[in-house]
Amino acid sequence: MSAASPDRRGGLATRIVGRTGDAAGALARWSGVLLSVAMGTLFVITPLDIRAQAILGGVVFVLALVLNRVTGRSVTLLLTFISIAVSTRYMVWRVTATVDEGFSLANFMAPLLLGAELYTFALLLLGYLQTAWPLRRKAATLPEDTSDWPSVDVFIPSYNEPLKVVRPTVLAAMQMDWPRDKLRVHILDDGRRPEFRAFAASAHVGYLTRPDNAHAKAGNINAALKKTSGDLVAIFDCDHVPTRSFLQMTVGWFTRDPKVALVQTPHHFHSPDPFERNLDHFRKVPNEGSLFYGLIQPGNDLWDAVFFCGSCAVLRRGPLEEVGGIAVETVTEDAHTALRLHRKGYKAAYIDVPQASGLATESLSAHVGQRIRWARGMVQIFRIDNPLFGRGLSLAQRLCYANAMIYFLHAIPRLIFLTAPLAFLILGSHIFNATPLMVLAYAGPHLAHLALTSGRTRSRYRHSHWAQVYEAVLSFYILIPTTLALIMPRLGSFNVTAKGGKVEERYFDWRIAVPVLVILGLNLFGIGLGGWHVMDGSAKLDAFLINVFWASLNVVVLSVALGVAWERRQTRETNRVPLRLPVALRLAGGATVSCRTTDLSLGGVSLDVAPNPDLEPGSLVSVGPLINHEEIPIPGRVIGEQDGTLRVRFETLTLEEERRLVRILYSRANAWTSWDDSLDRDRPMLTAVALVARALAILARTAGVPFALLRRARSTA
Amino acid sequence: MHILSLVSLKGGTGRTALAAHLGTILAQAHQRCLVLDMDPQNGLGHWFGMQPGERVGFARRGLGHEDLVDFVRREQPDVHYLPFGATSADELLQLEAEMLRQPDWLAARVRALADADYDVVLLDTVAGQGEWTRQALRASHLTLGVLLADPASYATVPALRDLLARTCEVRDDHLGSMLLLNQMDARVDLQRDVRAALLRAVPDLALPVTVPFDAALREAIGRGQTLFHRSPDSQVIEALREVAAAVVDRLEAGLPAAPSTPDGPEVHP
Repeated sequence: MSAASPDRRGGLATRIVGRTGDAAGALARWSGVLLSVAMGTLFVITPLDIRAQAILGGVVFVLALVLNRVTGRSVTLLLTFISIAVSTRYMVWRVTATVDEGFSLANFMAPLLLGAELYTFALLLLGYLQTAWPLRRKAATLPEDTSDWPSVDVFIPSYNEPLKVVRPTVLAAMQMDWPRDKLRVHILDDGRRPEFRAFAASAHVGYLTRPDNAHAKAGNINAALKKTSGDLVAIFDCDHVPTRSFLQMTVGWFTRDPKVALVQTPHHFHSPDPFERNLDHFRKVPNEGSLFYGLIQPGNDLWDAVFFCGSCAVLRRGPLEEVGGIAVETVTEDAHTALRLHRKGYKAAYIDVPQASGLATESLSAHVGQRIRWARGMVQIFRIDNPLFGRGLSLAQRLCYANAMIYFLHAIPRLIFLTAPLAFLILGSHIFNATPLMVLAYAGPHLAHLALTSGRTRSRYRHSHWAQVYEAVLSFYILIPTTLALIMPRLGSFNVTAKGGKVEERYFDWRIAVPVLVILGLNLFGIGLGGWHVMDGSAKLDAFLINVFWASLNVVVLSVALGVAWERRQTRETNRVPLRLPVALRLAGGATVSCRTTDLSLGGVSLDVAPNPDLEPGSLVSVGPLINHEEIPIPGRVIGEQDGTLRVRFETLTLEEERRLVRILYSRANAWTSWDDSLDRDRPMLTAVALVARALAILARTAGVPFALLRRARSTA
Repeated sequence: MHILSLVSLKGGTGRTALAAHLGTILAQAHQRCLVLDMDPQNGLGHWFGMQPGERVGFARRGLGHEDLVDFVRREQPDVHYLPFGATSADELLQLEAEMLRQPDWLAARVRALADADYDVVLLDTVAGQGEWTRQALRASHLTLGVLLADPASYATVPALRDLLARTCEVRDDHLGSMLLLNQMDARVDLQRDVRAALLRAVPDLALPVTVPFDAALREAIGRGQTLFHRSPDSQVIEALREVAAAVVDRLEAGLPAAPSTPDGPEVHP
């Protein structure tokens, strides 16, 4: 995909119609476009009766199913256009034919639902535009002569994270492949901690502090910018450990194109986030971030709208200083900084290869706290520096940025969808002025095409239906912060996300679960009450069925969301990375054993070793992973052996040994590139069935909680 | 058919143990393999359960094809080995004198032997640059120089390279040379430094894989067995599998120019 390099951008029209060609060709293409637009309009606006609409919907969907058998991006684009046409047809019908005239308080849900649908429709269009043609950018080659390579300052900002989280990042950053005299690593310690200063001195890295903590991380970086002078600045969150190839993968774009001011890489996590841990699908179902880093950022890259994500990125010093350093006005300083660079005409690039890895947030409350910050910050930018207005951006850049920000306003629409069927089931009001079958005939194709087309483009990055779960959980918590930010954008402070802790035992996080439980209870209550109304003849069966179906979907999504609040026990403080490396194991008596690691962490290793009398618990060994045949010995002590797996804990390591371990664990260029190979394939029907089963299990478990509490109360009394 | 010789300029590098294990590994990889002991001390015999009293070998009878086949020992299921045999000092002098007259004495005989029955013949030489070593080098298609990861051993590299250049690389049928670090202890910084220096100095010769020091070898030789019996998981075996793979790769890559033309000193009976 090097053809679509960013320095060969044409206008939007040339991109759609084609790049070059003579006048006759252009005329033919333009008339083709006009004809398609005319036919599309006709398709979208012509009203039909229920039978004709059902047939049209069926035929178009079958056509799409057939097309979906063909691979290729052009077919994907075609399917996208069909999906847009079908959805637009639904929205036109929805607005023109189903809205009650006049407003009644009893039917307050009707306009809310219409609003939520319009919002979702807008997001759908923007999303299709954003990911129309993901640019899979390769690394650009660096100049042959290393003396032409730019000098790099590596910033590792930290405020209150423990030193043991920061050490691997620093040691790995120092081992990146780059000319020694052009690489300076700095710890930016806003905590001004003596042990950090001592570590920096022993590891021979820079240690920068400032007198205050104004503007948190952004302020910290800006202060460090004034004390350093490298051509480029690489920024890593203190727990994002880079591979040795990070700079060689990213810096090429700076030397190739002087207008490039930012190169971003994905944020990759080698520990499970709360969704993955509590729902037990780590490395089986793509995580919440996969969609953004796997599809949306490559999509943004086509439109030169990649934004800075705060870490695992390189910035050019000149442009960064030109826009006044990292932006300090909002709590998502990273995206805001990228927006300012784009406004100045600088370019951003995205390399879709994980070149660093970090720890995911441990608990759900910490995870939610981080997402609240993102949501609030993006809405703040939307208010105070709206990408749709102001200077310097292309139309596509405006739309991509706007989409990223409007997305975080999904809380209210999501809550409306989660409660809409209750209007009928509980209050008996009709929010659609149409027969249920008519709704089915119009909304069915709209949803089916959406599922088909987004499944085609997204299944590697997000499995079907999971977006519902992720967003359902978050919408409850971002509702108030985003609304407040929309009204008062200058309010709010920065929360540091806690990492590297451990969840002591399995527990149910009530604080976080309450809003989910309330809406879930309402949906269950609505289904029961609606059923009762059908039995006594006061409600129509067809309207009941369609609303119960909807409410049941809500119950499934909310139940799975509830499962996230069941915090699973997590005992290990250092996260083991599953890794198969050949090892030369040296025993105390001088014999050697050839084996392989099954997992490795900074604290110890698991090895698959045949039972050996010389490997008693407590005996000293040297674990020597073989990297390109080089044995890298690390001293350890045997903990025990079970089922052919030997556990070894590393002894107190010297700095050099720790450096070696970091290199083995995190520095390999391909350390994270095949991480996603273990993902299950997305099969929408199976995923749906699995989600229902999961929902039922979680419901049963949660229903048991009050009884258990009751029992405990009785036994203590 | 190919001939691989293991050589060192300094003694005590563990060539014989490597030859015994490498031969077994090659045999396990379905190469018909013969290990030939060129050491009057009959060191290879220790690995293959040869009793101290047994003194049968090729040295006395010369290396005629018919005679030799009788001496090949097969008590190992998958490797054949040919002992040097007991010799008196006079016999040894006589043999050396004959070899000095015929520079390709060994080459001609071993090739004839190997052509008939083997894919690979391993020559386990004595240390140094004596006539035996030179004969082996003249016979071999591939040479494996065995070193220790210490400065003294490292210091022999220029002389060894020189020897290889003069004796092997001038021949068309020589497929290449490799240098292997044996008895390595990666926990010792100096040894790691030697490895790094070797890879830098002779990147085309030095094998990145190294064979570790393993105390199990002492026990094994005490029992007259290779590691395959009691320590099949040893890293020594794993490392030698890598070496064997490199050897086979090099042999199979071969000489694209004239694969079937026997040349030079080869003699067909």
